[in-house]
Order: sequence, then C-alpha cells, then structure tokens
Amino acid sequence: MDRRSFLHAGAALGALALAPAVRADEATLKSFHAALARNPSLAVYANQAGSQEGNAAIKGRLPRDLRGTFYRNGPGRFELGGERYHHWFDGDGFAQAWTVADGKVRHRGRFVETQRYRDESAAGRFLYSAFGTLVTRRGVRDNDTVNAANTNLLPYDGRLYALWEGGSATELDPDTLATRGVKTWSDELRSMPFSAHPKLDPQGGMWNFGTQPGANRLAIYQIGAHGQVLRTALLPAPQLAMVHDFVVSAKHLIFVVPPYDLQNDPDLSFADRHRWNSARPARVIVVAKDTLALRQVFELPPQMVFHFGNAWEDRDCTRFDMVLHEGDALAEAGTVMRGAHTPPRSRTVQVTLDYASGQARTDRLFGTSEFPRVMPQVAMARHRKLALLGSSGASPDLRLDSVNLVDTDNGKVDGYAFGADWQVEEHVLVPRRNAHSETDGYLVGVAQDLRAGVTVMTVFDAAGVKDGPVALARLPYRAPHCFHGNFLSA
Amino acid sequence: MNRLALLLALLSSAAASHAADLSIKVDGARGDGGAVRMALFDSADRFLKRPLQTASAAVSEGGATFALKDLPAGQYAVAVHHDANDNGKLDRNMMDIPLETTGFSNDAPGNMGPPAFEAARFALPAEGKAIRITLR
Repeated sequence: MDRRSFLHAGAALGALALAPAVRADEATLKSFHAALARNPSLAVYANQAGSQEGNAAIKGRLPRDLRGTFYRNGPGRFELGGERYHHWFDGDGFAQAWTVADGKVRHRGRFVETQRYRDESAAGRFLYSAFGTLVTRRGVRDNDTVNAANTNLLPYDGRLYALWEGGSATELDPDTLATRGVKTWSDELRSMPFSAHPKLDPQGGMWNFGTQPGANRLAIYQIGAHGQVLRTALLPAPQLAMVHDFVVSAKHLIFVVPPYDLQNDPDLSFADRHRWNSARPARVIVVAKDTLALRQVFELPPQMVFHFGNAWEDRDCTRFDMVLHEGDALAEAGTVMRGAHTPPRSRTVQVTLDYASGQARTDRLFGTSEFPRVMPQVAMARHRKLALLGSSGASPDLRLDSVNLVDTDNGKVDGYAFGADWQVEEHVLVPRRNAHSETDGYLVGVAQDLRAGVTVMTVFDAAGVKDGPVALARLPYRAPHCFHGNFLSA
Repeated sequence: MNRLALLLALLSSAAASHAADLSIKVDGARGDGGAVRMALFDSADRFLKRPLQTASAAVSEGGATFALKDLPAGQYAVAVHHDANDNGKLDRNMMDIPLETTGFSNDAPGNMGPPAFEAARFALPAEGKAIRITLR
C-alpha cells in the first residue's frame, strides 16, 4: 500500500468511527407503538410535543388553606425524527406547574429549553447521547451539552430550578416556566453535576451532591438560603455507579452505592455500561456533616436504590428509610420505552446504622413501593410518617396505584388505592401553616386516569388518606408522567 | 539595508517558500478578554502532552490568528483554548471538566473530553495550508 492509499484508508476508518451509532431507535419506536395499540394505558409513556395550558375541573372540595403552586418535572420528548429513546430517563424535561388558588386549579406545561432540546429541535433528530440511548451524531463538550433537565422541579429562594443529575441545574421563570438558562452557583461549581435530589434544611439552605460517570468521586455541596455556596468537598468513592439520591440527618450525609460494575465501553450508553454484579454488596457511605469527611462504610445485600425518605439520629445509631429494589432495576425501569412494563420488585425498609458494631440492619416497612416523601418540617430530624406510592395488585404488572402514609414506628398504613384503571405519581406532603404534627396538612399528587386518558391532581387530608381524596382536579388532557416535584405554598 | 543582509533576506524567503506555512484562524471566543493558547502536535503519542510548538495571541474580535512558518510537510493536529482570565492555564472544575472554551483542528468534537489525535489530524502539504477552529 503506498502512502497515499494508506492515508485514504485511514480517513475512511476515521469516518466510520464517527458514523452515527444510533441503536435500534426505529425498532424501539415501532415496538412501543405496536404495544400502545394493544394497551392504551401505555399512553402514560407517550411522546409529548409542544406546551400545555388548561383549567382543571374540580371534584370534591379544595381546602381553602391549600394555596400555592405544585411544581413537577419529568421526561416529555421521547421521539424525534422517527426514532424513540430506549430508556424512560432519557426524555427532555417537561416542566409542569399546577397553580391552586381560590378553589381553582390551573395547569401549565412547557419544555425546558436546554442546549440539547434546542439543538435537536433545530436538527429534527437526536444528536447527543441520552442516559440510556447512545447517539453520536454530534460531539459532547461537557455534561451540560447533554443535560436533559428532566427529573425534579425545585422552587428555591424565589427562583425555580429544573434538575437533572449529571449536570447543572437549569433556571426557569417561576410563573411562565420559560427557560432562563444554566445555573452556576459559583465559578468553581460551573458545569458540576448537581443531583435532582437536594435536601432542604428546615433551618434554611440545602445540601446536594454530584457524581461523574467513572470519576469515582462524590462532590458535596452546601448551599445557603440565598443560593450562596457555603461549603464543597470532593470525596473518593471507589467503584461508584449511578447514585440518584441521598439522605441527610442532623449529623450525616448518607449515600448508598448499588453493586453495578461500570463498563468502560464507549459503544454503550451510560445506562448500558451499568452491569449488575450480585456478588458485590450495596455500600452505605456515611459522611460527617461537620467535617465533610468519610465517617464509616456499611454493607448491605446487593440491591438497587433510587430514593430515600428521611434520616435521623437515634442515640448512637442513624436511622433512615429507603426503597430497595431486587436486581437490575435500572435496566428494568427503562423497558416501558419499548412498551414492556416490568413489574417492580421493591420494598421500603427502615435502615439502622450501628456505628459501634459496624452493622446495618433493615426492617421492612412496606411492600412494592416507590417515591418516599416526608413532611418538610421534619427533614433531617425524627420523623414518624412516610408517604409512599404502592401497588394494590389490581393490575397484573403491579402498576403503582395506591397512596399511603406509613407510620415508621409501628408500620401502620393509612392508604387509599385508586384501582386498576389508574397509575399514580409522586405525592408530596404539604403542611398547614404552623402545623403541629406530621398529619396536619395535605398529601398532594398526580394520578393518571388510564381509561379516560387524562391527568388528575389529587388532594388528600394527611390525617385520613383512607377516606379518599378530598379533591380531584381533572385536566381535559393527558399531561406527561413526572418523576418529582415540590409544592410551594403561597 | 546592506547587500549582504538583502541577499540573506532573499535567500531565507526563498527557503521558506519550500517549507510549509500553517495559518490558524480561531473564532468563537466569548468576549475580548484574555488570550488564545495554541499547541501544535505531530503524533498521537504526543497529542495533548508534548507539543511541537506553542503560541499565544491576545483575543481580538472574538478570535485570534496564528501564522506558523517553516514546518515540514506532514500530519499535524492543533489544540487551542481561550484563556479568558489570562492565568496561563485551562481552568477546570472539581471533576476536571474544562471551564474555558477549547477547540481542535477539523473542529473535531470530543465526547466528554478531548478528541483523539486521529480525529483532529490534518495533512499539511508543502505549499502550506490555512485552517479554522471554533472555540466551544
């Protein structure tokens, strides 16, 4: 081979390496739409195009003292250019606001205009890799190039943030939901991963963390009540895989690292690089709040964790609640994109960390469940009530269809099941002004009416969930399924 | 200018016409502060480690231009970054993500990091070449 043809061959190989490596997205699209035609309830995972705005019809009576805006966020755009994402966590953030005032509920939904959303809208097709879908049509400068801003919507200090977990928060206008831009808390935190689960301190300020795929380091941030960066730390954490949430007590920051081995394979999406390894334990990493140094590591059987309730110090132990999943729940959560709902294998437990013995003990609180929340005023302190979604078993694939307030001391459940034709989303606890207990307030959430194909905001009295919703606010349309949200009282 | 100097100047310009010149136009700088730092590499082994040449130019009208003279014809790759605060280095955050904009020949995109030498590689022929790089 002469030099000229060698170079030519080299150039051709280079072009091959840069060729679009989108995998099976057309197949995913076809598979989902075939499944949707057979099973209309899968519309919950359908693609959203454009904004939404509408008034809800009220059934029951909206409590007079429930006023404010319920901000929520979840993936809305799954399809573009004839292709569909592989994983539920991939879609572009669709921010929603339910405004509750004067006996009326108004809904608004709007896409977060991230760089990815703007670039791909202009191109008419996916350009960048998503969490579970490898796309290599355009280079990725940094984590914010691929920021989906699709996981949580946080009102904070008069501002509103759409949160992802691999990159920066994105600031939105709290009234119009219009995108203001990427949030930089400080110069040194520019482009840092900022998880979608910051923990608000009832005394003011918040804690959050961030992880970078393969970096094996955990970044910790303490942010003041007015958005000022108070403290940061970077802790080594070997074999770090996806860490979605954490939990905070008066003295500790607690992380659980599931036993995934992260494959270093550029031909796989981030999700697909996670290989479940049941030979390894789940690790509980406890960091002291005062020093931001590692205090102790505990081991638990190999299980996956997405979400935590709350943590509190009980003499020489720390107790917290979390939802445990058996096996590779990360991959299983994605299968709805091709129209296959994988029944969850989850349960909620209370964990007791005994520092003296080095043992972590789990006690069962509830069966199949997800989306734990507590009243904001008890965060980081002793709590006794945990809000959870559950599955009544009315649907064979164990869809989440019940709303529950669980007593974490005695396991008693105050719950309400919507039934087979419903799918419930995260419910949050909203205290009454000067609330005197953890049931002095409301449990507010969203439920999808699968038969009618519309979305409903629900309001329960936290003191009597089993009595059913005191009010339902029914939209004339279906709004995209959200992951997380927060109620900002007016 | 005396005759000897004139002769030397003529000779050197004649020699330069046989070596390759590389002109690099960099654009996409946000603001006119700081400098563009340029590094030229001639092999994958040395890429982003041991540059053949480096140069800096003040930012003007959102970019900078470099004129490299008398390079042997061959294969090269160029990396640039906008040192916006003029501290002589590419600033990074705690996770090593660059905080200042960077660019590479062929406008080669990275994937959560710099591109490979192969993606940024270009041929510099004996008659010279002009390339453009956009900072991102």
